[in-house]
Amino acid sequence: MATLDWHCRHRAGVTFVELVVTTAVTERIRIESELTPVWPPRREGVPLEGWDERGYEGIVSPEGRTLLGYATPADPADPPASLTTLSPAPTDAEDLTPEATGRENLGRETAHSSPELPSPDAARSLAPADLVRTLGRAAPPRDAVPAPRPSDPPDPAGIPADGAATDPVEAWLDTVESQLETVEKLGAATTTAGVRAGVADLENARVLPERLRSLERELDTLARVHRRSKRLRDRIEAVDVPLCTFERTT
Amino acid sequence: MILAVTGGKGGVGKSTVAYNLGATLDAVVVDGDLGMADLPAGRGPDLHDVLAGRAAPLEAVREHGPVALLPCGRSLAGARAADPTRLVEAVRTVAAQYGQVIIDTPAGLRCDAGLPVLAAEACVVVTRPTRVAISDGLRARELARILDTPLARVVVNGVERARVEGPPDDRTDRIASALGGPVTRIPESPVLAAAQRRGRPVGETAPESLAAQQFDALGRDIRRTLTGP
Repeated sequence: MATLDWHCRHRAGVTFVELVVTTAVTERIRIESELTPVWPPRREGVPLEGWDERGYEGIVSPEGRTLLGYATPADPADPPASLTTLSPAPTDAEDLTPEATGRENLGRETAHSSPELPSPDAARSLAPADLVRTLGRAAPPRDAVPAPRPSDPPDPAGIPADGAATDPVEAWLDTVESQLETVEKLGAATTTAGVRAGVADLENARVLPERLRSLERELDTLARVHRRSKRLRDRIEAVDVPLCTFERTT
Repeated sequence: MILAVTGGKGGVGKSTVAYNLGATLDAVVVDGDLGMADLPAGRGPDLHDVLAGRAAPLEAVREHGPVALLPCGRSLAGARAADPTRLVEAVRTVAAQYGQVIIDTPAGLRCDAGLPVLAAEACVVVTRPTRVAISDGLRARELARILDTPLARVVVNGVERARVEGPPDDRTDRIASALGGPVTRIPESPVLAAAQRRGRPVGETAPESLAAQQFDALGRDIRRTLTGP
């Protein structure tokens, strides 16, 4: 019967739970966290093998101790988790890879490294999540994507239009720019073919006067936005809040 | 049938091959690599929406063009929110409904390259007759080998017209041997380039052209390889 030791650290609102499993025989265990929600260890954004939203399940063996760790926003408790033995020693058909025994869960490099190909043996029974862990995600880094503003109303269809900017300000500027480009192209035309192409872009020559009036109105709006942006920029640059003092007093 | 069209980085013509093969095989082309981002796709959910669970895979298939297309996602925020592991199930759902699916697969070795190959029954490696392209092709081939996805065909793009019209030569044999699969050559072709710019298959714009004939042959050879004698 496996035994569980633990240690909790609480830092900056997060509890880090370190678990040590010791066993005299190889067996499959289940660890249920008393603290929820569970933030499991992840590789490339995918929870490591064996982890789920309530805890961990895997095989432990008598060679050495099995180290497991996870985080949770809940306050520490004593004990933070409970251990159950699910079945005794696995048969030959059981998966005894390091992933399943949980031995490699801690101490595995979490910083991003260059993708490595899985070995052919490992690849034969790959699940998509395993492939993401091994090869690495291709998503852009977090700081490349502006954080959504909480005041944004959700899109009623829940689906952004193809190719449209999700930022309404960008969308407005894109529209003005594309209207301007069609007019500029027409203005730059020096041949009959060029004029025809420019008019074709407008879809209809009769809209040209209205397009010009619309651009004039945009000129006023752009000027107002420019003045207001400048004032906001100056104010942001003038902000002077001693962060360290606030941190110490809260 | 699910085919992953893989190969090197920009310029080998992977998206052109995927698109035209989609026309020849009457397949839905899943754009996993921004290759068809210029094609008019109208409004509606795209691959990012499917991978983020916001839309069902079948809702994202656009049937209005000459080739049915599941367009790529185009925003950084969408790319971050997408769960790449959903791709395999999504592609299988589309294949169950439509029969044939071709995935335009990104180059490289990250999961966005690996998952389409994992989902596919076979892959097509696209290359050009240059050292850099062939070396990229070798890497794509190796990934497919490790993921146990057979190679259906090697497509060598941008071959001089005279060579395509003639019998297979030493260079073709060397490429076939290096990449471990039979080769189809696509000619350097202004007609093909013009068709791709217009977002049409060359089989529709210039059905008598050498490029169109080669794509027809490619489709026949792949069908024969995958469905057996």
